[in-house]
Amino acid sequence: MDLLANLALGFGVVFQFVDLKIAFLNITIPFPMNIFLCFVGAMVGTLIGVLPGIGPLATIAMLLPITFGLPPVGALIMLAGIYYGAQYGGSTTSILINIPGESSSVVTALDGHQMAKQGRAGPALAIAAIGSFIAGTFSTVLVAALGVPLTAVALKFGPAEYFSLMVLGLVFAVVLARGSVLKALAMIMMGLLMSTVGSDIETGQSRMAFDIPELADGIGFVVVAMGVFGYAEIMRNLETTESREIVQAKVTGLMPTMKDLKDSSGAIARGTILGSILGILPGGGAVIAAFAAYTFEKKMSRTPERFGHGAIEGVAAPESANNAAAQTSFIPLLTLGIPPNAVMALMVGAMTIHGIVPGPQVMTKQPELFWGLIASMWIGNLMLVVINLPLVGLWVRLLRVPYRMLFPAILIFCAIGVYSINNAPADAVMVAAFGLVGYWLVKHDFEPAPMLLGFVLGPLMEENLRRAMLIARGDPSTFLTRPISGVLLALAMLLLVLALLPMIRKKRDEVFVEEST
Amino acid sequence: MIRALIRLLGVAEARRTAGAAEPPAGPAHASHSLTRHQSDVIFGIAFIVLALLGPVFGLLWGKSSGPNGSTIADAVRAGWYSLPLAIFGVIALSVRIRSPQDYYGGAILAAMALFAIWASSDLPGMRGFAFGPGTAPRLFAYMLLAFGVAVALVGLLTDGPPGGDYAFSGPLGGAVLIVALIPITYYSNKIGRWVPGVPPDVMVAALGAAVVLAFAFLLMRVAPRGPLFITGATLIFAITVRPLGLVIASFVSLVVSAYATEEFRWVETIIWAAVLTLFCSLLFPWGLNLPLQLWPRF
Repeated sequence: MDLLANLALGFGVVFQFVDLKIAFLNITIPFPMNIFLCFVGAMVGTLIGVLPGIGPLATIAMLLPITFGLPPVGALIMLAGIYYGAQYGGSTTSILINIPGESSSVVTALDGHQMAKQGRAGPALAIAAIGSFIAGTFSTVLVAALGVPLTAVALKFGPAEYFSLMVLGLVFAVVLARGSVLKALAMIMMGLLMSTVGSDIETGQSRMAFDIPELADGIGFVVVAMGVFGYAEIMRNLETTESREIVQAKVTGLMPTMKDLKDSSGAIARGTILGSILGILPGGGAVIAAFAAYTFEKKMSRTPERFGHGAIEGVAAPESANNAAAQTSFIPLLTLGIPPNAVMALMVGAMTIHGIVPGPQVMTKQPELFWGLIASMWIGNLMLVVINLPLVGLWVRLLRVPYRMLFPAILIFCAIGVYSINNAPADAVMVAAFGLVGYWLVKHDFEPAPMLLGFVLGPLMEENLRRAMLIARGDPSTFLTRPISGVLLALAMLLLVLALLPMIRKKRDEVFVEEST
Repeated sequence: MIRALIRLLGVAEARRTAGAAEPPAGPAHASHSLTRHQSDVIFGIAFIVLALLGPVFGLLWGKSSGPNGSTIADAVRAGWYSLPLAIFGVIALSVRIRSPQDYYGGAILAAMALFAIWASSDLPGMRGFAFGPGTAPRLFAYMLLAFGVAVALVGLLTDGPPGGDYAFSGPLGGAVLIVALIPITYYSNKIGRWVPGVPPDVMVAALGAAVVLAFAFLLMRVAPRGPLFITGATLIFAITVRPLGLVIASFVSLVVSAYATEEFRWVETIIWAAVLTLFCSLLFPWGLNLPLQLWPRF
């Protein structure tokens, strides 16, 4: 019953009290810091989940500098709360006013809003919350259960295996990402290349820094993330003219009927499992999980014609799936040290800021961080259910805040935040420059997410590649002859070939026609 | 397994359609009236100019003009890296580009890769079977070059959408603002003494902010407001925050940033900027204990 003992340790960390000094009263009070941060994260997550135009990526990037002053466990608890909180918040506006606050809630709007039109907004919201909570509970247990065995495997990995695993992870990210595979590969290379700027790990020699002092330590992670996800997002959003309808939504009768519960129980279970699997896969994450769960549910259903006209399964399945995926995507990060998607790449950034190297050693060296984070997820989910349903009216009213008031706030938060890290005005200029880069990328239909993954994994990949080559005395065939590494690379190759084959491409298009009808 | 994968890929595509189903992104400005052919001519020439930059820069500031290094040799060496870009330009001038979005996107990535290959060319490579500092950057750069060329080829051979509005004018406009600040910070010692009685750093900050604003308003005719004023506001924040303190810097850059949208309203902006400034000057220095200076030093 190691699992229980570990979870107990985790809950102990979450409920930890720290002494908080209140300066002007000159007293010290015990304060449940981690619970508080979990609450803040969940609330901020819900808030940005509700508001279209700002997602978890931009928010986490924006808040990274603020977490500098927090203890590492608390910082990660808060940032994780933002991610899964956003999945809850996104569903609320999807259902009530057909505006998905988050791309992972786009499918929820299909049936959820129809339910709301039929006067069943309450049950739809309740099912979304219940499904999310069940999915959150299940995936929390899954993270805890898979953590130990996966870590044990990862600890046996040598540099060659690690390198191949990262290659596989990146290939997965490419294959599952939207748009052109070729472009995603190019983006990964750009990220990897950017990560080599600065001083070399082994020799300390300055690389491609042109004697510019700001580049001597490499390009800052916060700078890239804020620029590409925060700033570029604003610049792009400003080009679409806003037409946000203000709808007064009244929610009456929150409780779903017994029939609703019975109808959706299967959907919740299937959504949870599908979401959990897709969350673990690199390149997956909440958005794909929600779409897959909806499609799957429609195919499974004996009455698929009800979908799109207010079928409660069409709310239950994607909402369970996106929440499950949001949480299980922590598994590869915490056990293997490999971020499966861009949000997790930001978490890697947050960990490195606090001097934690993500990887299997986290669980053995910092068990309180690992288990504390997992326990906080479950508590955060509980909080979200309790807080969210009564506050639905407030969230909907928040939608009246126009974007023209929102974006200056995001901008100034980013600017002050990045400036405060080193007290360096040049960092703010760099954020603006990367904002322009991100804007350019989007205009040319390049996805910035694979670039960030490459940028984060770059130093690790280079280090393991160098070590593996050194151990093998310069023989690159070591990656193929070592069994685990060989299998991983073969898998990566297979995936790439499948994705690039024109025949498959055609099928992709066929499936895509089928989905859109 | 394969079927499941195909379904997954289908899901990824379905996601794209769902994204596209949202209201189409209408440009806030009147669209450029350039035809496709005209823009190909402009970009073609731009790439040829870019290609020639290498030799020119090599002649002017030879990278490694040691005691024995002749400048002509430097020019040739630098040109070796940038001259291949001329191929992209010549193609754009002679063939109709079927998918400009892909073609120019790939071409710029290839340009970045060539730049990185040049920039890392002086780093030591393999020593025996050990990687040198330059091995990995060059490896990644060559792969980026390959993928960039591949993307450009796809753009040349298959039909695709025209380049998005402002794909170049937006980033270029913002870049002009950043470049405009370089001489001001470089000559800050001289500029600071222009007006006696005014503290030098305040002088530099004021001039920098004025230059950024002037350029932003000038470029508004040819470039979108978003990138211009978002970049401009950040630059103004960066140049004013030290001499003038957090309060003034945030307020000014909030007002400037609000101008990035056509829905700009004076009264609302000023009130909202004041509220946000108050919030930030409470949150950052006190709430988060960050050592930020609130007011000007004098």
